[in-house]
Amino acid sequence: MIEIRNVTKCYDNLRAVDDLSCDILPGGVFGLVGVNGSGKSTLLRLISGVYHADEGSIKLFGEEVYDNPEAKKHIIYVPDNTQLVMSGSNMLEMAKFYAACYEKFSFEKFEKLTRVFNLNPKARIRSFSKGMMKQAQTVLALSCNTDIIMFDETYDGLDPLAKQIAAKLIYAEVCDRRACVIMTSHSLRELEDTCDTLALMYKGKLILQSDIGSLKTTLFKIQVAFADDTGREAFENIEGAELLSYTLNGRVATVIMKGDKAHAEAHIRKFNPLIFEMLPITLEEVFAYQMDALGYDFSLIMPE
Amino acid sequence: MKKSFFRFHKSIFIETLKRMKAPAIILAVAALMAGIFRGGHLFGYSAPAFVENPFNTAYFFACELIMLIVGIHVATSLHKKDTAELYGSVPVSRDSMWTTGFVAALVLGIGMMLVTFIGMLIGRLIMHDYFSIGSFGYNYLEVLPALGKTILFGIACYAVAVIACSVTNKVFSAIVTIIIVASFCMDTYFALSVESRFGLSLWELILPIDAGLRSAIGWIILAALTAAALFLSRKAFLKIRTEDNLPVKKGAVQIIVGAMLAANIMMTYVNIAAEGKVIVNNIIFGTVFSVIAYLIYSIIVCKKFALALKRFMFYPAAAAFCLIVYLGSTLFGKSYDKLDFSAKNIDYVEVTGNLIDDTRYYYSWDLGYSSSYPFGGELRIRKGSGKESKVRLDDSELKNYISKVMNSGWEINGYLNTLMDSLNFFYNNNCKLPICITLKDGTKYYTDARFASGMIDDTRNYILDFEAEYREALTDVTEFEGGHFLYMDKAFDDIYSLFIEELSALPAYERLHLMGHSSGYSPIRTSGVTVLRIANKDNTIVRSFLLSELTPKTLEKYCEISNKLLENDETKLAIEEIMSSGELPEYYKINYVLYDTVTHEAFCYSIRSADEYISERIISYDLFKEYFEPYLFEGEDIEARYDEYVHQHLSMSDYIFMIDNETFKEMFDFGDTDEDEITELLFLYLYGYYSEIGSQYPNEERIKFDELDNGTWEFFTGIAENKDENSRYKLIITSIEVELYNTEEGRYKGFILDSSFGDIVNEYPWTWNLSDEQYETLIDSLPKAYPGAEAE
Repeated sequence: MIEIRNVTKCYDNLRAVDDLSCDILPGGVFGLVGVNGSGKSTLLRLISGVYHADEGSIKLFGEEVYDNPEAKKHIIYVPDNTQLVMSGSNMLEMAKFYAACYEKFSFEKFEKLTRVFNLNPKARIRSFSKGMMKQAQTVLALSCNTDIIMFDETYDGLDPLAKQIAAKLIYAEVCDRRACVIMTSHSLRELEDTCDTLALMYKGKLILQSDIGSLKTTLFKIQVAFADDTGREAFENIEGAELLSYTLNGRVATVIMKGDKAHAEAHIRKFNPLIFEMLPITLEEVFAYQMDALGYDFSLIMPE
Repeated sequence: MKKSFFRFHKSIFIETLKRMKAPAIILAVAALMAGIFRGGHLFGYSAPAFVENPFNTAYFFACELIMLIVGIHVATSLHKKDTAELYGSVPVSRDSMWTTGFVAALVLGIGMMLVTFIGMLIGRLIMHDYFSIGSFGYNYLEVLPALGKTILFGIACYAVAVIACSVTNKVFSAIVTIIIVASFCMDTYFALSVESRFGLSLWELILPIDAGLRSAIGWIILAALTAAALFLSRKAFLKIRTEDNLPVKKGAVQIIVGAMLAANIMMTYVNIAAEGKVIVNNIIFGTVFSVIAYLIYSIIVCKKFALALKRFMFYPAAAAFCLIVYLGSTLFGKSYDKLDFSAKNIDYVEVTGNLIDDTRYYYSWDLGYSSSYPFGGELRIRKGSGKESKVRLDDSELKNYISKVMNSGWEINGYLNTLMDSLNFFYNNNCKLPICITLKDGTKYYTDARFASGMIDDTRNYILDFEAEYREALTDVTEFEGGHFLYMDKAFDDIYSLFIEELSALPAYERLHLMGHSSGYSPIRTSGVTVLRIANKDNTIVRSFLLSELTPKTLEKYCEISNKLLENDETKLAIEEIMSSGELPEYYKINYVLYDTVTHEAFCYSIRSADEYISERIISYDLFKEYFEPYLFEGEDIEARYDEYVHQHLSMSDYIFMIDNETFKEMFDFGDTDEDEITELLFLYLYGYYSEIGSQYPNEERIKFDELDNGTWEFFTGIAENKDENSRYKLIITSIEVELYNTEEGRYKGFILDSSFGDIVNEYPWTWNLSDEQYETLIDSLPKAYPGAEAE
C-alpha cells in the first residue's frame, strides 16, 4: 500500500530522513515512535505529499504521491499542530471543503462523530480549546473515509475519555474498512495498546519495525533463583532461544530471552530452580532489549 | 501520474474568497469612494483625460491591489505555518491551486472594477447636473482599453506577487522583491510610453509607425509580457518548497531581481527628456548608484562578499537594458533631425485613430505653441468633419504652423473641441490626439498633439466655415423629433414640439446660427443666461440654446410657464420683499434678457454691484491699448476688444497681468529665440491665457474698475410693481443674487434665485413687463464697459 524506498530528506545539512525504506500494509495501525527530532513528522509530511523527498520514492498504491491528487485521494494527514482546519471557519465549512477534496467524504459520519465528541459543527473553530481542535481534526479526518489516515502526535491534547473514544474510532476504521492508520508519538506507552506494528525512528532512520504481537511473543522475561551457584551459563546455548539480558539481584536473576519459550523453560527447569516465574514484559522493555541487541543505547533513543 | 493541469477547484476558490474577505471589503469601500469622487472623470467633463491618461489604470487601483493580495495569499498558502500542511496534503494539485487562485484574483479584480464603476455611477447620479447623458455613450467605449490595461496590470501584479512569495517566505524579502519587480516593470513601461524630449514617447520613437498599428503592437507586447509573467509565476509556484522555503534556482532569481533593481535605479535617475549634458550627468549618477545598490543587494542575499563580487558580472545586463533605451532615443533623434518639416515640404496632416465617435460628435481642432510647459497659444487651424474617421488637414496655415513648431523642436499643442465642449463638459489638459504629418516624399511622421478644450467662441465661428455636409447635419431638426428638453421641469414638455416646429420653420441659415452657435459660453452669455438643452429620443445628440435665442412663441410660452412655477417660490418672495423694502443690498448680481415682443430681438445683460475682487483684476483701457494695439489684426477694433475683455472679467473674475519681452524670455528660457518670434509668442501667451495663470509673475498692473452704481438696483426695485401684461418689452431675469446686512439679526443674509446649474442655467426665468419708458431707462442705465473704466 505505502512503499517507501530509500527516501532521504535534508534541511540544509541536517538529514531529517536518511535513506529510509519500509512498507506499510493496509488493515492495521502502524505506530511510529521516536524522540523529538527523530524525523517522524517529516516522514509523515513526505508520505502525505506536503514535502518532496530529496532522494528516493514514496508510492501510494503504486503512484508517486508528491503533487499527485490521484494518489493523495487515498490519504488524509492530521498534523501535530491544529493546522488541518482553518481557524476562521467552522467545522461544517471545513467538512464542505474536505468533501470537495475527498470523494468518499461522508456527511453522515461527520454528523455522527461530531455528536460522539459533543462538538458544535457550526461553532467557529478558533473558539475551540486545543483538545477540541484535535477532536475536530479527528472527526474531519475520519469522515474523509480515506484508505490511509495519518495522525501526528495522535493523542496530544486529548483528555483520557477523548483518547479512549479516538482509539475506538481508529480501531473501527481498521476493522470495518481495513483502513491503514499511521500514528506517531514520542511515548511508547501511548501507542502500546493501539498499534499492530511499531517502528522506531532515530536520527532519520527506521531502526526497528515489527508487529507488536510477535515482538511480545518472541521476547519473554523470566525471574529465576537457584539453590546453588548456577549462573548465566544456564541460559546460554539453549537451542532455539537466545539470551538477551541477564540481571542478578542477590540470588534472584531476571532474564530476558528471545526465541522458543517452551524449549527455554524446559532447559532451565533442568537446573532445579527454587523460583521460576514467567513475568509479563512491557513494550518498552522489548524495545530496550531489541535496541540493546542492535547496539543502540535505548536510554538515549527513548529517554523516558 | 495523472495531472490536473489548469483545473479549477471550487472549494479552494471559495476558501480563497473567504480569506480575502477583509482586504476585499476594505478595498471595495475605497474603490466605491474613489468611484464616487471620480465619477466625473469617467463620465463627465474630463473623460478624455481619463482615457488618454497613462496613469488611468490607477483609477482602478483596487483591482490591481486585490489581485496582488490574492497572489500573495496563493503563494504563501504553501509557505505559511497555518495553511502549508493543509494545502500541501489535500488531493489538489498545485496547478489547480494556482489556476484557482488566478481565477479568484480575476473575479475579485473585476469585482473591484465593478464597484468602482458603481461608485462612478453613483457619483454621476449625485452630480448629474453636470453631466450630459450623451457623454456616457462617448466615454464607455473609450474607457475599454483602460479597463483592459487595468486587468493586464492586475494579472501582472498577481504574477509578480506569486513569484516573489514563491521564492521566499520571508515577509521582508517578499515585499522588497515585489517592490523591485513592480517598480522595474512600471518604470520600463513609463520610460517607453511617456514623452521624451521630442515630445514623443520612447515607444513612439522606437516604432515610428501608424498610431493604430503601434497601439496594437503595444497591446500584443503588453499581453505577451503579462502572459510570460503569469507563466513564470506558475512555474515558481509549482516549485515552492514548503519545507525550507528556498527556491530551486535561488541564485538565478537573486541575479534577476538584482539586475532589475540596478536597471530601475538607472531609469529613475536618467531623465530621457533632459538635454545632453544633464543626461550625461544623470547616466553617471545613475550608474554609480545602481552599482552600489546592486552590490549591497548581492551582499545581503549572498551573505558572502566574495560571492557578491562574483555576481557583479551580471550587472552589465542591467546596464545594457538601460543603454538600449537611451540608444533608441538618440538614434531616433538623429533620424528625426534629417526630416525636413518646412511648410513647402509638408503634403498634408491627418488626425489618426478613432478617438472620437464620429457618428455622434463633430469636432474641430486648433493648435498652439508649446515649449516644455504646456501653455498654449492662439487658434490657428480649424478643420474637421463629423463623417470621417480620419481628418485630413491641408491648409497652408497649418503647414506653416507645423513647420514652425517642428523646426523649433517644440511640441504641438492642440485643442480639440466637440460640440459637447460647448456645454463645458470636456475640460481637460491631459489628452493627446495622434496626428500624422505626411511629407511630400511620402515620409510619414507621427506625433501626438496635446489637446484641451478652450477658445470655444472661436471654434464656434469656425464651425460655420465647415463643409455643407456638416452644416446640414448640424441643422437637421428631424433627428430631434420625438425628443425632449433635458434637465427641465415636466411643465415645459408641452412646448417642446412647438419649439421644434418653430425651429423647422426657420430658414436654414437662421437655424444654423441657432443650432451651430448655441453654446452658452461667451463673455456675456455666461452671465447667467438660461440655456435650454434639447436631446433626441435616446439622448445621443444634445444641442443647447440660449434663452435669448429661443423662437418667439416658445419664448413667450416658456416665460409664462416659468412665472407660474415661480408663483409661490420662497426665494423669489424673499427677494421681492427685499426689493419692496427699499433696502440697499450689500451686493447684488442680476442677469437678465431684454426681449422685444414685436421684433423678437432679445439681448442678454448682466449687472452687479461694484465688486472689489473683480475690479482690481481688470487693467485699464490705456494699458490695454498700449500693450495690445501693436498686435491687433488688420481692421480689428481695440475698443471692441477691450469691451469684450472687460465684460469677460466682469463675469469671469479672471486675472490678467502684463509682462515684457525680457521677463517672458526669462520665464520660459527662450534665450536665443528671435525677438519677433518672442513678441508674437508673448502676445499669444497673454491674449490666449491671461485667464488661466495666477499672479505669481512680476510687473503686474491692475486698475480698479467701478462704474456700476446703485441706481440700477433702484431701477429694478422701481419696476417691480409693473403689471402691464400687454407691454411690448419683457424683462426676463434669469438669475438674481442678493445679499444684504440684516441689522436685527446682525448678520448677512443672501438669496440666490437660480438653479443648481449656477451661472449657466436658470430653469425658471422671472418675467416682468416693461413699459416703453422703463425699457429706455433700463437701456440707458446699462453699464458701459468702455470707456467708463478709470485708471487708479
